Amino acid sequence: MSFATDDIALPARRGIGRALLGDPMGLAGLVLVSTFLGMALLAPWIAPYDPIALDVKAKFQFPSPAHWAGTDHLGRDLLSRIIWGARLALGISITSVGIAGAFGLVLGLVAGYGPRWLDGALVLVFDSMSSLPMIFFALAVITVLGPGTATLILVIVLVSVPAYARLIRTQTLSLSRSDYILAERAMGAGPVRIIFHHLLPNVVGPLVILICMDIPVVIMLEAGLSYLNLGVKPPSPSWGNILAEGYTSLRRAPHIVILAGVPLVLATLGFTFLGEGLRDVLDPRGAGRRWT
Amino acid sequence: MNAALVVENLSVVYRVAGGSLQAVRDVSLSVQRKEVLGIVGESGCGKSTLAAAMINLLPAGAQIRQGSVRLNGTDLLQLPPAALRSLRGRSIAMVFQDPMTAFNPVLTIGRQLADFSGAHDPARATPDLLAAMLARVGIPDAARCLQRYPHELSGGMRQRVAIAAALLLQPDVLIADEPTTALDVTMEAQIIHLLRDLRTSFDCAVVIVTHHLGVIAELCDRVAVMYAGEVVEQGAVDDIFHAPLHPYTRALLACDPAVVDAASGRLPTIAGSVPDLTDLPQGCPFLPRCTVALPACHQPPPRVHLPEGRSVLCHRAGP
Amino acid sequence: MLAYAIRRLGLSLLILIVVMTAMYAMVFLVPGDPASLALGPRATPELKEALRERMGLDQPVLTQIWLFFGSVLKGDLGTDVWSKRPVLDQILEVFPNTLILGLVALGWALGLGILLGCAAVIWRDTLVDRLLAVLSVSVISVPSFVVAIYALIIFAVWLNWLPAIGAGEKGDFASQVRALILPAFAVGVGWVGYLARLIRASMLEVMEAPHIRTARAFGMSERDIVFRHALRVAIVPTISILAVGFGSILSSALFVESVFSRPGIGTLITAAVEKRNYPVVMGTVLFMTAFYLAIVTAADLLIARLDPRVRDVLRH
Repeated sequence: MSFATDDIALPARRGIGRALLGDPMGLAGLVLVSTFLGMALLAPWIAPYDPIALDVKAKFQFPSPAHWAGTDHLGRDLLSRIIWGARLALGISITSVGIAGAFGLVLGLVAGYGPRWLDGALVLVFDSMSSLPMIFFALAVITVLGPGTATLILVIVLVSVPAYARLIRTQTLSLSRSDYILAERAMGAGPVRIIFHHLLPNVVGPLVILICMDIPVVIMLEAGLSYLNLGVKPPSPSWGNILAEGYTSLRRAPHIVILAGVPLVLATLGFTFLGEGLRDVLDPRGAGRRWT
Repeated sequence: MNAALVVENLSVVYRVAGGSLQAVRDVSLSVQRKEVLGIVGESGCGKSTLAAAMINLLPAGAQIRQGSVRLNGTDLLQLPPAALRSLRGRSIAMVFQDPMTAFNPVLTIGRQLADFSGAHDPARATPDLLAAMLARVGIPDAARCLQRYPHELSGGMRQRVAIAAALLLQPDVLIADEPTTALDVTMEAQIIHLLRDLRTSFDCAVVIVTHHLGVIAELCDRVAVMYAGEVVEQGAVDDIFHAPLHPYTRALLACDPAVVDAASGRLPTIAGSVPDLTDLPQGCPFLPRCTVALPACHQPPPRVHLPEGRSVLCHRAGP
Repeated sequence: MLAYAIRRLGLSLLILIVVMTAMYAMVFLVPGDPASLALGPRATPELKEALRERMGLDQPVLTQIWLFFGSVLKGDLGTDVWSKRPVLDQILEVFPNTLILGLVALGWALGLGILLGCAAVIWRDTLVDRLLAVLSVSVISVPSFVVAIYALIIFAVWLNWLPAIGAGEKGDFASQVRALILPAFAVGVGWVGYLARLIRASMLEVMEAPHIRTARAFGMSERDIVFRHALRVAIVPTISILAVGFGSILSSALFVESVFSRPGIGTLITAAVEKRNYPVVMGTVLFMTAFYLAIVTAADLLIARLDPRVRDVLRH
């Protein structure tokens, strides 16, 4: 059973869904995200060709009935690569923010509810990590570990955890000082019960919103790093890879770059709209409203 | 007739969801120079809206349905914005209710006072004159105070500064909207003391809006009692306090926390609650709570004018 | 004010030291060392040893860290493994390009953002306002390098109005400006919407504040109120966000520089990462960290100067 914090009073589950459907932006986001999720999950069945199958004789073809999006410089079907790219983009981003969210949740709870010295140390670490533009930190790690999907996920996790942990920490701190929690402690509730039964349900809400708003950022990061050949290794069909490969043959086959950019833009738009819609629904009185 | 401020038949409504809220209904009153008029009433009676209307600084959503507010003969409600601005602060000044939010947090006191008076008369905005004014309202170390920021001062100090700012250009009319409501009792006493003290040296007309009868008793010459947007009774403070004519005034005066009912051991209250201002009844708005109502009270009550500037809005009054 | 400044600088330095140590220590947490990684699996032991020696990896860990700190203080950020040039020189050579790109992008985004934000305030709750809200959300989410690529296709390839590559000729100001247009557009476009909404929200909030009502009650002109009183309050959160956002601008610049093959920190570091040129990567990261911290600290100090309440909060 949740109670209202300063900012958020979580409505009943049913309420969220219905409210989201009523907001045009949220609805658009929901549609886009569902489309891409479907694409990602059903890729092996709906992609017309094998995304890494070469057919050099058919290279640089413009969109045609055989290849709806055309082919790239190695004759690979672009549409299949794009569909599998969705699987890759969503797979990597959801996995990494999921892991980062879990770590952030734990660290934030510890920092907010644990001993002061631990909190101080953790805050110093978080502040240090967020004191440099994340991309540089990411590049340093990639230099040491070498590019690849595993490195990419690690980098994204490292880069995202401080922000999540800080959010959870702030929420935990303010909640743990509330009279409700003090009363529970006075009645003898142990830290485990307090954390799991009382704190956790209430701090999760803002985290979910933050994660949803973070997914488009992570998708962009993955695409960007792959574009620089520092992310997912070719021939994996990351959207960033497709863009990079298409860029070299820009004049000859511009359709590659143009078409590869579209899913990237739509995916990030979709998740952003969904996140904004969620925020309007879950936090109508808070900071979110100020911006509209 | 030395009336500095004359309000005539003023009506103000707020546009709200589902209709309009009649905050001020056909209010007429006047204040002379060197006179202190109190406007008293409970929360929601329209007194703050009335005060805001007096300098024509109503919030968005408020609409003046009819009436005039004449300052030395000029109707403030008809003035173009530039002319209105030149009068505000210079001929008519206001002290607001909450000293904690009344000042800009990132500018020094001195800078703000200079901006306020400099808008009209830069010659009066010198640090010496400003410091002198602050000293006059009882602020110690006035010159240092000019360098301070609002958050460095207590609520009582800030209210003093507000009063000093209002009197800087020696306005003809000073309006104080609940000047002591946001202060604790000690500070309240100090501010009342200050206002009483200033009365003697400044000859402006003063309007004090409050819900506290004690303030009225200490400071005012005349008082207007408001209920549900109307002035139900007006007159000299002594007359009204000793011989109230309107049932509401009588009930209000009886609600003295110092007087606990001997029989029931309870504090006296007025039964019922204020009417919904979006849906007012045809007759007297006090009817549901009036203990001496007549059948005639279902019709709008007449305004009965009595000698010495006394007036009552009641069927029971009259010669 | 002075005490606050000293404390703030001290905190920044502490963070910088922590970051530096972490960066350096990272190398040792990884299986294999940078030398073998850089040379690849076919390198002979002698080559690896030689490179290791050149990178200074044959010395004890603590010595390495100590030496590193020492040399950084002397202004030496290490030497490029391949070209043997001092890293700092390489950085300083290209940094101005990136800095100009970032500043110009931020500049035009801020200018347009303020205009649009004020327009949204004037015509608030009308169609214009809502349209702006949707547009600004959408535009924020588009990756800057995608915008860069599309812009390049349209303006450089098809229309051939602007150059697709480089930063212009040295000494030829006009060509440098022309080369700056598309990259600055791409980097800034994500920010216009965000800044417009920020300005709008800030100004709306401030104009509703009671102290603005006080100013009006004293007959101050609307223009004086907006510029002397309201803006002074609204600008504080804006500065804070801009400073932190400069990091994001630098990130975008990195990608956009690659798209346009524009010499800058971005191209420098990405090339170094590809070749596992660790000294260059480390040196650049440290340089940019120090620069970013300097910006944020300067912004904090500026805010403390503008908003006296901030200084006092830290005192207690």
